[in-house]
Amino acid sequence: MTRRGAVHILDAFLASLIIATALLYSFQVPLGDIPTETQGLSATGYQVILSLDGNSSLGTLLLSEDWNSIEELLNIALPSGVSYNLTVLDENGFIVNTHPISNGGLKGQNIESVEYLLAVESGGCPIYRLRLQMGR
Amino acid sequence: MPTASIDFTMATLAIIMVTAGAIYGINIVAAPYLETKSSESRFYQLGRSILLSEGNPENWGTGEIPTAFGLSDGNEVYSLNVDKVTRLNSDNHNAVNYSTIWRSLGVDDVSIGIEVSLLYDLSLSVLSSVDNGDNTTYTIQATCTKDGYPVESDMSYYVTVRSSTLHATGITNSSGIGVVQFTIPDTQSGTAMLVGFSKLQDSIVTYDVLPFAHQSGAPQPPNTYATLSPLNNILYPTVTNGSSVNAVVFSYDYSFNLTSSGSEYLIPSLQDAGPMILVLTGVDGADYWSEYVAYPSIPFEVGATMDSDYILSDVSTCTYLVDVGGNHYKIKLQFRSPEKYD
Repeated sequence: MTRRGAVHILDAFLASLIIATALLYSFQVPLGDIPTETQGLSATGYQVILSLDGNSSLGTLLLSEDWNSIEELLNIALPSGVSYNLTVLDENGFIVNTHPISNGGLKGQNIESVEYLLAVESGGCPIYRLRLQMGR
Repeated sequence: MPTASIDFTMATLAIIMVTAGAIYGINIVAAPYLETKSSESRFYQLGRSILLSEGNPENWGTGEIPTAFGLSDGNEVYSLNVDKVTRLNSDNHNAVNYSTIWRSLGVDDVSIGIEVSLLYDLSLSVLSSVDNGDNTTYTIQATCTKDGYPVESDMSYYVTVRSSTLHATGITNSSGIGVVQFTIPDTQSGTAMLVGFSKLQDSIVTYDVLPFAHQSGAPQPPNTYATLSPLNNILYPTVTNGSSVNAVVFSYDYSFNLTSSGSEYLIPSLQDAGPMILVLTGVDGADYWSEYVAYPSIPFEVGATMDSDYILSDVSTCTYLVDVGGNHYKIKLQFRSPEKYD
């Protein structure tokens, strides 16, 4: 009886191995209606800041310390489902933004951060360091 | 039930649970690292190349056939040329077809789909109309949303019918709703074109256009009377039914009647960034019609479709924020290549 039970356990082990192999293989089949998102959060964040800096709109808002408008800009520019927190630091590393620039705090399983050095085109040419933390 | 069968069942259940749990756990732990790895993928770099290069010839937006595909205007990063983007819209007479795009991309094993869209949605609707005897008052509602969430913004509305234009401003509130009224004389009967612009900031403007009947029959489908193709700051109209009456350009802050140059109209360069809406009005017998086109002609989709149920190939989506003519848009590039190429 003991020997027969051991053989059955071996059978069960082999059966579960087959099931597991089938499951693993099924994960490899790409589904066309759910295309893979190839960008990471940091790539997305960096690209968004770079684009906003391109026509000087971000620099103008930084210079006027219009934190609400910067928050509004990021709310629209970043993809839905991405939480973020932006910290603006000056040349000496001190935090400049007087209140949080965020859409409710960092949330999500994956948290990434990018830093961007931004020089504003104005008389004094002030330099800001932007630290954008994102979660999804 | 024999003891051996109970053993067998219990052992099977236990091993299946352990195996399934292990697979789930590995997926959870490994997912972030897999995503980071794929962010540097070949497709993302290919997308960057398209958006950061001007292509060949560099000014192919003016009407030439590109031999190398690139959309940049050659100024700031992620700043795209208005005419290159406009020529991707298949409604334009000078549009480049997918075959040309694919060949000029120069990557044989990759098919591409391009979708350019506004950053958020504006939807216009006529809530009610009241006939006052010799004129009619229309109540218009604007709804601004991004992925279903309301957007507060400043609004600018225009109504044009025949050769007359009315203008109004307003806002969308915290629910994303704005309401405005227009009163149009009944003598100006015909298809009226309602143009709405929503501005969040100087470089974030979106629009919607709604044709509606003013003391006339229901509006015909787009391009019934004329097709409009803007390129290189010139509007090329092709009138198929009747004759044109007036051409107008609208932006958030400005509206002008267009100056004709033969059968074409010159499009002015306006101070404010953001899309321009070009409206051509005309008459066919007793019917006064209106047709419109946006410049740059966004939104649109072009290229290969990626939404089959099952595709035995690698499909990747890369989304970028870009500047076209001073206004920001979203461009989604989808690539497909043979499975496991990279």
